[in-house]
Amino acid sequence: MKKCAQFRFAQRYYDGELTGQNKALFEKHLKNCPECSAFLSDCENIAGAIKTFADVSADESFLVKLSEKVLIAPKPRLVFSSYFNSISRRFLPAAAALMMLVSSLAFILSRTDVKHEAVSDISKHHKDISIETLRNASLSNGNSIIPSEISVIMGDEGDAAVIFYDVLSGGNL
Amino acid sequence: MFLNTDDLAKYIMSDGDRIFRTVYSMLGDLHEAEDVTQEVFLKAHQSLPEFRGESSLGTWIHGVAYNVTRDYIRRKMRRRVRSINDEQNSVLDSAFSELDVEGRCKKNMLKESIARALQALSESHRVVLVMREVNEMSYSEISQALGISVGTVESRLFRAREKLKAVLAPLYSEGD
Repeated sequence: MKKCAQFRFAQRYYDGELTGQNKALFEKHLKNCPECSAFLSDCENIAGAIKTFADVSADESFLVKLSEKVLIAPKPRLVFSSYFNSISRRFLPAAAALMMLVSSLAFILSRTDVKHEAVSDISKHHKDISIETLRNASLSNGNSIIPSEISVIMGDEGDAAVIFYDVLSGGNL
Repeated sequence: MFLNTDDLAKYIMSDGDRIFRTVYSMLGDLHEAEDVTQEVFLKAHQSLPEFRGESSLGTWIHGVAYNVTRDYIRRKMRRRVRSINDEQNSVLDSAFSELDVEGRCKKNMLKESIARALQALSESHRVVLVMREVNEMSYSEISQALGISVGTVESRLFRAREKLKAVLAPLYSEGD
């Protein structure tokens, strides 16, 4: 049997989840829909059955003893796992982003130090190679020179330092 | 929102009965319901620091009650020799056969049959029905207590009612 198009509202209506205009519209529909009416009647039977079954109460003395037991139980402690869980939900993404930022900064600074050390080191030991020689050597290597080659052809201290720094920074000669 | 042991003790005195009824409806045995209700509140007491006030205390404790009762049922079922399927089938069979036992009070018979019919539902279906019909919780409260969507609450309620209707229909027709 094909179900009524409004059938899905029947349960919501029965459970008090329909309000305002939706409730009024469904009540209007209900007057002419035997299927939805039958469903509501079934819901009432089921509710009656469950309430009959669950018509029990805890002993007053049981509840009193239980509340006393809770009052004298060891105080709940915020264990690390639950503490961490509650904290991590809010702060873990921010902490991860901060750690990434710090490690990126540390990496950039360390690379800068390497460049300065390398330039300073090479410029101390090679003072007789011209910029032109360096340029030619670089061109013969496809515009990419490596430190060992620079150490052979390096000339003027200041110019070499500038060029070497440019190369290390990704610039071409 | 911070709650302390005193708040929980007050809740036990004012609404502990509701939790007891929920647990009983899940288990169908008064003595077991007392034991498990006690376990529920001791567990809730230990977990108080985790309560963040995103729902009411009652809704939160209903969630604890469901988890503790479900674990209890699972432990109990594991101890049984029979498989869960055999258990559910026999529960359904006896729901009808016991109607014929003479000398029993009609109300008690009906109650027992309803208990068995409820036990035949899956835990997830039974609990939404009990929360709705016994404790009159809204879809939203059930959804928060069980950590499921409102749509899932609706569909589980619908299926639970359909199953229960199929089991209870013969009881009502015999009673007429």
